[in-house]
This record gives sequence, structure tokens and C-alpha cells, in this order.
Amino acid sequence: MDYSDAIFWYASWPVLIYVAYRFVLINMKHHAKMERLEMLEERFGKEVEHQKCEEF
Amino acid sequence: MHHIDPSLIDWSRAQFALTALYHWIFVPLTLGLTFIVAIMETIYVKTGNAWWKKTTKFWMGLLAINFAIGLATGIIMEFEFGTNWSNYSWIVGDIFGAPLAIEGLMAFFMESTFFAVMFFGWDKVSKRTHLLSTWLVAIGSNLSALWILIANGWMQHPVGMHFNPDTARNEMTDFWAVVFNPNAYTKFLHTISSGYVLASLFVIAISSWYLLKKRDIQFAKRSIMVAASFGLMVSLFNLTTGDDAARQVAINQPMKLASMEGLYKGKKGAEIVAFGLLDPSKTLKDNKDPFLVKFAIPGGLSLLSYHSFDAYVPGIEDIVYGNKTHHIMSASEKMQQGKKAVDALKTYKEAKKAGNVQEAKAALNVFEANSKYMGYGYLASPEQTVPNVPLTFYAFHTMVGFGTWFIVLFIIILYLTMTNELHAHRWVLWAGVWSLPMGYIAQEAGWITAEVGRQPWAIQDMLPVGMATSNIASGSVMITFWMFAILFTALLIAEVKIMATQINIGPKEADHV
Repeated sequence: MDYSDAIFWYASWPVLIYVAYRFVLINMKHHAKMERLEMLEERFGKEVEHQKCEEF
Repeated sequence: MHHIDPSLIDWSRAQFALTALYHWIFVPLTLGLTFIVAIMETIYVKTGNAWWKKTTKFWMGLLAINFAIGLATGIIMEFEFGTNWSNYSWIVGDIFGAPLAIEGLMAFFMESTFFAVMFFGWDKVSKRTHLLSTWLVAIGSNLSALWILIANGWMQHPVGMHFNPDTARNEMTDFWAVVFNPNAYTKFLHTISSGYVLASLFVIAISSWYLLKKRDIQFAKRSIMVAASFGLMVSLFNLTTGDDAARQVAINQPMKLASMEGLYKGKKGAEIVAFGLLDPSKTLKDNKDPFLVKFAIPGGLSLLSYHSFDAYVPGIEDIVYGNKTHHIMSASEKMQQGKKAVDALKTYKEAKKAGNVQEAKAALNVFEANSKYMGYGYLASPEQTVPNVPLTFYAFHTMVGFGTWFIVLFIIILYLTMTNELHAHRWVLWAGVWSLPMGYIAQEAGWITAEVGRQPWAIQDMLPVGMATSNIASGSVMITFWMFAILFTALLIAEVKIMATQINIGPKEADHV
């Protein structure tokens, strides 16, 4: 019997979890930047925000 | 075979359906939330940021409540195989019992053991050991689902066994054929990924509610970011596995597929109904249009089922009454063969008991020639092979419709989260809140499609539900049905109340959970 399809699909489960985890990490990094920009905007105002933005 | 009271079959079915539907309120959330919590804790361990520990603990508290109640309903369901479905357990216990036993020994003990470390071990084990425990709970609970869905996949498409006429039982001949059954892996992946979608919706709904109430804003935004990212990935995977699952249904359960689509007459280039209202007065062979109104995509069903716009998809009437052009055997022909097999088995047993070797051998030959359709021998009419078409159709379309909406929702929410505009779009937050009940409805609709669509079979084409029940008084099953209905409802109310209290307290107090 050829079970290669089944093995491929079962193997996709841990791959899915890993890819989803990496996707969360990538988005989290971007989100952290957004949070920092928001914080800077609150602290220094909009003009400073654009200057600080270049630091990331 | 002795006569079985029809009301016993109905009450046994109702009781199992009740238990399964309640059980499935709790399980999918556990399957997904364990991974979301594991990802949050991994971020905590990697960054050392205590804020993520607080977030992890809050969601872990809600997971614990759900886990405990899911466990209670699951154990009752396994006992019902013995109490209400003892004929089923006798006939296929050798095969069906194996994955359930592995589930108990391997997955259930794994998740239960490490759950204790995960929940109570924050200050007792190292950070990394705790993280490992959390991941093992997530993997264990999903492995638990794997073995149960292998068992269920076998009910949809029985493989890897042979019928022993001496014991009147099916015995496993190929364990790997059961494990690698196409219906098992498609069902497993589609089911667990739908659980991940529900867990993502759960986190989004509660976090959206915090944003609407303008409280715990940073917690809510970060939680939404994790859930929407995870949700988008898994919902796309869910779509892919749904496509694969539908193809397996087309190959192995064409009646279920025809019922899912309300397709009474088979055709080449069959359309897929995106939205439709069935005519309740529709009956077999009345030549009426099954739909009062519909919006359909031409060739869609052929493409979905066989990856070709021109492929022929058999309809309900083709499967019941046969279609010579497309080499489809009618249900009545299968019933004739099935009855021959049932009679031959009876003759074989009597001849063997009487020591008549020649007659036993002849009867066994007749049995083996007709045993493929033995299950049909227990049916009363060809029309009995048709499941409840409206229920299967509406359940399937509800699942697909809601599933499509969830992908759109995850995209919108993720975009607005990444652009930091989510809090300004209150309608999206409300959509996030209201998508949670939709997620639960989609979960239940998926199971209704799978299980109602398989009727009248307990095991596809092999064992009708009428032959699978225990020979007990229907009154006993009726009484326990109402007892379980009250008990499960009380458990559900308790879960919702405890969760609502924890959600109201919020993440600030999560360290005390």
C-alpha cells in the first residue's frame, strides 16, 4: 500500500504549527514597533514621531 | 437477528448525539487554545518579558475551566459505546477499540499529566520545563483527537479488516491501513484546524470586548495580534483540508456528498450551491426542483469532488435506484446481495453446529460472494439509504459560509491591528465578539454534516445504526438521555459563569488564577 499521501498530510500538522508560530513572531515584532511609535507620539508629539521612526 | 424496538434506536441515537454535541462545545477550544497559550509562553521565555507571563496565565486559566468540563463529557461518551451500542462494540470492537485504547494510554495520560505541571507548576519547575509541559499538553490533546478521529474516519470508510464468520465480528488485519486511512487524516487535520480557528475567535472575542469597554487595552491588542495571526494561518489550512475532506467524501460516501449539496439527479459539470433554500415538499423521483431559490456556481461541485469541471457527480436518486450508464449499482441490488449474505451466514452457523461440513462450506462460499453488501441486508427499503437531506445540506452550508467569513474577519482584524487602527473601528470589534457564537455553530454544523450525512450507517455501508444498539429497554435510554441533558446543561452553565467571572476580573488578577 502507498501511504505517501497520508504521511505527507500528517507531517503538515507540525509544519502548520511552526509556520503559524513564526507568523505570530513576525507580526509581533511589527506590532511592538507600532506600540513604541504610539508611545513616542504620546510623549513627544507627532513631529518627533517621524524622526524616531527612522531609528527602527 | 432479533427485532430491535425503533424507539430504542431513536433514543440511543439522540443520547449519543446529545453527548457528542455537548462534548464538541468544549473540545475544539482546548485543541486550539493550548497552542495559543504555548505560543504566548514561548514568547515569554524567549523575551523574558513578565507581561507575556501574565497574558499566558490569563488565557491558561480559561483553558483550565474548559479542559475540565470537556474531559467529563468525553468519558461519558466512551461509556455509551458499552451501554447503548454494545452490538456495535461487539461487531467492530477489535478495530474501533484499538485507536481508542492508544488514545487513552498515549495521549490522554500525556495531556493530563502535563496539564497538572502546566497549571500548578509555575513556581515549582524551571521556566523551560514549564514551557515544555505547556507544549506537551497542546501536543497531547491534539494526539488525543488524532486517535479518536482515526476511529471516526474508520466509521466513515472502513478499511484494514475482515469479517470472521465464526465469531460474527470484524477483525483488524492491517493497523497501518486504519491509521493512514484517507478519511482519517483528512478528518483529523480539518477537525483540529477548525478547533484552532475557534480558539482564535475566542481570544479575539474576549479581547474585542475589552477594547469596546476601553479596559486592558494593551493586553487586548497584543492578544488579538497573536490570535488573528494564528487564526489566519490555520483558517487557510482549514480551507485546504476541507477541500481534501470533501474529495474523500465524494469517493467513499457519495450519498453524503449528494445530500450536502441537495443533488437529487447526478450530472456532469455539477454546480455547487453557494446559497440555497430547499423545497420541504421535495421527495425522491417527483421530478421537482429541490430548491425554492438558489445561487450556484456552475461546475463547482465537479471541480471540488474530482478536480474537473466536467466530472460526473452522482445524485441521491442515482445511488438509490442505480444508474447503468455510470455503472452505479442500485440500493435494492445491494440489499438482495446483503440478504443472501445474511441468510448464508445463518446457514453456515447452523450447519457448522450440526457438524455438516459440506453444507457449511457451500454456505460460506455464498456468504463470501455476497458479503461486500451484508450491511444492506438489514435495511427495510432502498429509500432508507438516504440521510436527512435538509439537515445535512443546511449544516454543511452553515459550516462553509461561517468558515469563509472567519478568513475575512482574520484578514480585516490583522490588518487593523498591524496599522494600529483596530480600536477606531467599533463595528469590527463587535464583529469579533459576535463571531464567537458563529464559531461554535460552525463547529456543531461540521459534526452534524459528518454524522447525519453518514446515516443510516453506524459504519458506512457495513452496519446500519438499527443493528448497532444494545438490546435494552428504550425507557432506560430515555431516562438517562434526560439525566445527561440536565447534567450537560448544568456543566455548560457552570463553565460560562466561571469564565464570565474570570473575564470580568480580567488579566490584572490573572496571577491569582
